[in-house]
Parts: sequence; structure tokens; C-alpha cells
Amino acid sequence: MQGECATSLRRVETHSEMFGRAGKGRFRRAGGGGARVAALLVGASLTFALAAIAASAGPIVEAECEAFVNYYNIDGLRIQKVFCSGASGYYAAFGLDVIGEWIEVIVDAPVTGYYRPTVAYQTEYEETAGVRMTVIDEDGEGVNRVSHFKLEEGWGIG
Amino acid sequence: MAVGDSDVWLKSGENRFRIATEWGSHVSLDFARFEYTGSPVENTTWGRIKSVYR
Repeated sequence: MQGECATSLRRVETHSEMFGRAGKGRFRRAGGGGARVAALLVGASLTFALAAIAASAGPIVEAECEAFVNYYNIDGLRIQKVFCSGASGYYAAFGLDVIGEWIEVIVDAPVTGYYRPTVAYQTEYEETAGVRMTVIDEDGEGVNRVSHFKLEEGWGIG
Repeated sequence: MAVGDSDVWLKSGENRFRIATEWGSHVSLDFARFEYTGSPVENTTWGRIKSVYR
């Protein structure tokens, strides 16, 4: 199935989306009079708490995998950028069908430090997969450059 | 959406990273996300408690 990808890649919710949903839900459930005031106070407290959490959270950066600048294809389908209706930006990197194949991507970090990586990826329906991320152009000692990912449930079609 | 088993270190500016398949097949990659968790250990300033008041 060359030139297509699975159609049910998950989208990431931003902090602002999650925040807005919590506030609306609170006021819809509130009754009249005192209950409404109490709900407002609880809502205000929750608002400040969430705002404090959001303010203390570090920066988040993302890189689209289909914007890869290099790749290594061993066999099978050629690694390529394909249209994918469920992917962010409607495109994904497709064709990593042999163990050891890879793509290289560039991400622009705002500050130096440690980052928790997540990867949105998928495989064929009811198959599992694992990928490894390696930061390759940083040779400092005592810093971690590798992180492993396991996808225990696949969905969609490859 | 899968979370890595450990944080990785990025320098300020452009960083080149590689995503490789370890097992499985027919993998499609959508995007990678990096959430800042802390500064390098060598830049951390450690304080010391000199006395405790009761």
C-alpha cells in the first residue's frame, strides 16, 4: 500500500484546550444562588491552580517527522512523505518496514537541558512496534542521548 | 503516542535526532514532541542548610 498511511493517528491536545474544557464543564453543572457562587469560587481556584501549573511547565517543541532531512532505507518500501488524514499537518513519514531503518529530523530547542520525548507513530492493525530516538549531534559527556519507545497496540491500516 | 523511557538532552538551537525501528514493521511516524524537564546537572547550584531553628 505505497503512498498511503494509516488514518487514525492521534492528535495532541494543547494545554489551552484542556484548560478551556475544564472551565466550561464546571459552570454547566452549577445550580442557582449559593451553589452558583460556590461553583464560581471553586472554578476560580481551579483556574489559578491550572494557571500556576501551566506557568511552571517548561517549553514544549515539536518536529514533524515527514520533514526528515535524511533517511536510511534497507529494503521494502522506500521511506517517503505521504498524505495521512489523521496526522498532524496531514502528512507522516512512511515506509519504515525493516528493523534498523531510520530517519533524521531537526528540532529547534529554545533552551539547553533535558527534555521528555514522545513520538506519535503507529504500525499496522494489531501489530506492535518499538522505535529508538537518538540525538546525534551532541557529544557532551554525562548527558543522555537515547530514548526507547514501545507501541504495544497498533491501530489503523499501514 | 508513546513516551520515551528516559529524557534526552538537547542544546539550545538546532538538534538533529534519529528515529530508528527496533522491532515491528510498517511503522509510520507522525511527529516527535519534546517537553523541557530541567537544566543540566552541572549548571545546578546546590545550597546547604547550616542550622535548624526549633
